[in-house]
Amino acid sequence: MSAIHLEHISKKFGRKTALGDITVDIPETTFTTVLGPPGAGKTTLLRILAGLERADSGKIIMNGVDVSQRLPGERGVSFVAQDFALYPHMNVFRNISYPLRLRKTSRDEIKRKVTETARFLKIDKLLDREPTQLSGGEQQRVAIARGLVKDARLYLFDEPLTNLDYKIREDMRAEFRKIQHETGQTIVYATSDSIEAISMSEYLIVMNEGQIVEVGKTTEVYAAPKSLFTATYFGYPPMNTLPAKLGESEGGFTIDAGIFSVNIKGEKPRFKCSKPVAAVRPERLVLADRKPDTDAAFSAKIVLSDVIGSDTIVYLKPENHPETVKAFVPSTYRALPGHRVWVGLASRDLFIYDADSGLLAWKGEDVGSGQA
Amino acid sequence: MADTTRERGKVNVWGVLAAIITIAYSLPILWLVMTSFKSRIDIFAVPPKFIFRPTLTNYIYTINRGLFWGPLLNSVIMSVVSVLLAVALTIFAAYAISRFNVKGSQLIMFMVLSLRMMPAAVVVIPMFLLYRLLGLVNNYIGMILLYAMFSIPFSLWMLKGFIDEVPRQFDDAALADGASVLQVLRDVILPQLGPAIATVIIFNMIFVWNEFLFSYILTGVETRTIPVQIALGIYTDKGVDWEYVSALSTIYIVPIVIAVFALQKSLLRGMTFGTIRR
Amino acid sequence: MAQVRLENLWKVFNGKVEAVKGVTMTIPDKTVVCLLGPSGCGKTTVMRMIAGLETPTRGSVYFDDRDVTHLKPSERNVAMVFQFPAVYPHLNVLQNISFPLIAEGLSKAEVEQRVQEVALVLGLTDVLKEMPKALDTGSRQRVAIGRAIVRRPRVFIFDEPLSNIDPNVRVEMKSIIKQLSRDLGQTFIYVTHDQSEAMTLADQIAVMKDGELLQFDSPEEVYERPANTFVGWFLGNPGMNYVGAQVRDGGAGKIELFSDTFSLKVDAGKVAAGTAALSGRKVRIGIRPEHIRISREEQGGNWIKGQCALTEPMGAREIVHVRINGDQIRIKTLPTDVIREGDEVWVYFPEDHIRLFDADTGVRIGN
Repeated sequence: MSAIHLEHISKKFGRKTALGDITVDIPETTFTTVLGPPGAGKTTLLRILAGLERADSGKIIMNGVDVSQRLPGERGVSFVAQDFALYPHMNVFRNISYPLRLRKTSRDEIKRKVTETARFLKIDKLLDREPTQLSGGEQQRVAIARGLVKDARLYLFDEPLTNLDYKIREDMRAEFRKIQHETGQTIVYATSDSIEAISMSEYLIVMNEGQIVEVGKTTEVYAAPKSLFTATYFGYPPMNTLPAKLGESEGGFTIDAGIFSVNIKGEKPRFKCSKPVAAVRPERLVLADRKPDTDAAFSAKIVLSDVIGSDTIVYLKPENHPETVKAFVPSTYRALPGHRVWVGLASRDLFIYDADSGLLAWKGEDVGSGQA
Repeated sequence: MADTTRERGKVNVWGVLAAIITIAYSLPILWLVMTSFKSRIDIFAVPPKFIFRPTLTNYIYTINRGLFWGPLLNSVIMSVVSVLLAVALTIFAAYAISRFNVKGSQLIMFMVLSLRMMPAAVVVIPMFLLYRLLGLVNNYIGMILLYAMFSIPFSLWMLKGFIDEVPRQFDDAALADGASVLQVLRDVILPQLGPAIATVIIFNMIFVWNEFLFSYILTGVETRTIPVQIALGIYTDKGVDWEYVSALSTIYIVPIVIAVFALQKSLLRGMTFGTIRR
Repeated sequence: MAQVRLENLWKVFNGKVEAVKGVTMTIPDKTVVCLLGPSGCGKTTVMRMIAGLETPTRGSVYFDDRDVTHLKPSERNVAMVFQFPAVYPHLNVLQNISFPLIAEGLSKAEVEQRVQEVALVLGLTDVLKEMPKALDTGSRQRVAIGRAIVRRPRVFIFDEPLSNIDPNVRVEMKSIIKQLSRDLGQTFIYVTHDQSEAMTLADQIAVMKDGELLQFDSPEEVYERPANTFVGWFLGNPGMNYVGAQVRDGGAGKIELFSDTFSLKVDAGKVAAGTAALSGRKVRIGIRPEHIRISREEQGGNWIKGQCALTEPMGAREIVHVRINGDQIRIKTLPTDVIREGDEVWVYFPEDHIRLFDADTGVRIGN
């Protein structure tokens, strides 16, 4: 059953459209991520769900009841924003307990719940501190605790980790996942970070320019994005895309992406594909010193090998080609700019999108490995 | 190291200069206060005496001359009640104008400010006629309403400025925590406005405490305030009553000095609020 | 072109805040050195003392053999690039870059030639006539870099130059800075809190914490052989794992690392020399997430039993959290592995990648 049902929600700020006619279901007891670049409308969507913003049109149905006209306090919704505003005149305990005090909860109950939530977020030793005495990470934990302490039907988080150090993010990602697993709450989490989306959520809503681009189980969306936008946005790093030509061949068809071409057995993409784009995940590219024995291979110069902690994103410039190709290596891969390498890929890892409609036309895994 | 010494030298020059200016400015007040503690003979001594035996006779005389407790109480009641009334009302107005898209709020803000642009001397006669018509002359409620009206523009502009500086995220956070708009104002906004409210109250109280013209025209014996009493009581049969004027004036300054010193910290914070980005 | 030497450098603010506590290091000529650490670790203060923006409370700064401790920034011939691109808004790109040269009184022809060279390196040739307003922050930062390098200073200082740059442009900026450091062959001092910038750009990394220099080494060494548990945790994504254990002699050139629930026999020569001295000590076994092997099948030998606490899919890989005897470790695996939360699992720490740290001080012992 769907906990929250959004029908034709739209919102304009002046002339700028923040949300254009959005209809979507958010599943119950699930961690849902709303993923999109800044300005996609994620924050507006969450604020409308929380009741902090009123939609120009449309309905929000929660558990069968239309709550569109209700005030935030009447919706049973909790909201934690990116700029976590801790009340400066209250200490940590009073900050966390504020939502409970508003509901006239008994003193014992408040104490029990605050302590429990604080212990869970590892801030139980900070309860007597003033907000100004806390580090950024601790402040954010307090804000999250304040969001979690009350019983809500829906918990909303708007990019809560954006302003934090990456080391804290690393811990908090795991914590968020744990929170949902242990409490089974309905959580909607907005982010522009693909890693957060993939590591925490079961369900994914991809947004761009005020529209919903794609909806589905996170793992399924990752495995085969149905839209070109998702392909070029969702991933760490997102997919490589290259303009391609599709041609006929005996018992199949060819994909010519300029720097490589492959022969595929089977039917050519059925629907009209006027501007085909070939796409492949960076982690599916194989780097080698000698030409690898893969379905397709090309040679390229290293532009930069960007060591991200224990992984490396290698930026490559194929010969006689303007585009940069990214490869993801799950270890520290040091190579000097200008170094020449071979890049190999398998045709089952290829996707074809239509640039005009922005939709997936064909994916290699349907066919299996073809011939080089 | 050399730099610091030079810095210190500079500070000293400025310090001396500041001291001279302070003394020059406070000399008349100092003279007034000294006079209030002098005997009649010392007051008129030529050359003027700086060292003398202080006495409280002038104060005893002033209190007993009549029309002392009445004006003092009137001054206190009018400045406290009118200012509290004005600030209480403007908190809501300022919050509403700051946070909601009130239609014509720009115009309201301007009109309110324009109240203070009219010279008092121009308004005072029409005001007197109006008050006489309404039966508000020589009346506490009339005076309190009048002073509240005068306190509103400054309070509204100041408080709106202060509330604008409190990030809206606090409102959002509290709303999301389940608070109503009034609870947001009470629990989250007001506690952050402490210094601002103190500043507004003190500034307005000083204004009302000092106000002379309207009080002079609109009050009677029962509602007269101290400044009017000083002006009216200055002449007696024996000429200028220096004992009376000096003692009453000194009593008149004391509350202001105490208020400003007691609230110095929050006044400073209130006045610099918004000018410094943190 | 200069070697930069710091000798027992201290900085105390207001007589009590010890921002830098006795940093001694030698930055070789023509090297890219990253000062890396969390906020408040003192890296910025060290950099400011090298630049001459801050006077050390104690200690000295040498450029080659010259003591520059008390020289003004302008007398040190250093160039700085800041977090916020410092460009003059009223001058166009060309005027911005040529500004320091004109101030130096160079001939018109020479100014022209140098600016063109710099613009070419930084890809600014087409925008020389533009005003800064018309450029994005990335390009503005390139202008700021251009103004710094056009002077040909002895030392370049970069103070978190990429923190305010749009992530999409960051890669391009990184590759420009990497390229520059190769082409110019100058001494670069690069301050950052971002391990990936340090790992990508640096020849040597100086890791700082609480005003102290913890380790100064090549990126590989810092990553593979962290000086203490903090460095191991701070670098890496996720950082190094630690499991508490005790040491005893395992016989036949081996040492045994054991706890209530496991016992590992490892080659003493590979893990730590001086077995005898280690016996009886409490240690923490450090191992990086990508080096651990994991299996759902029961395994003998050096495999340790644990329980899966959480799995974090990461797209290209997966992070599995495993509880071992009170410690929780993270393991980086391929997403194809089928391990669920609550599963009993066996993990294996390859000898070559085991590091030992003192349980109390956190300092690395042995290899």
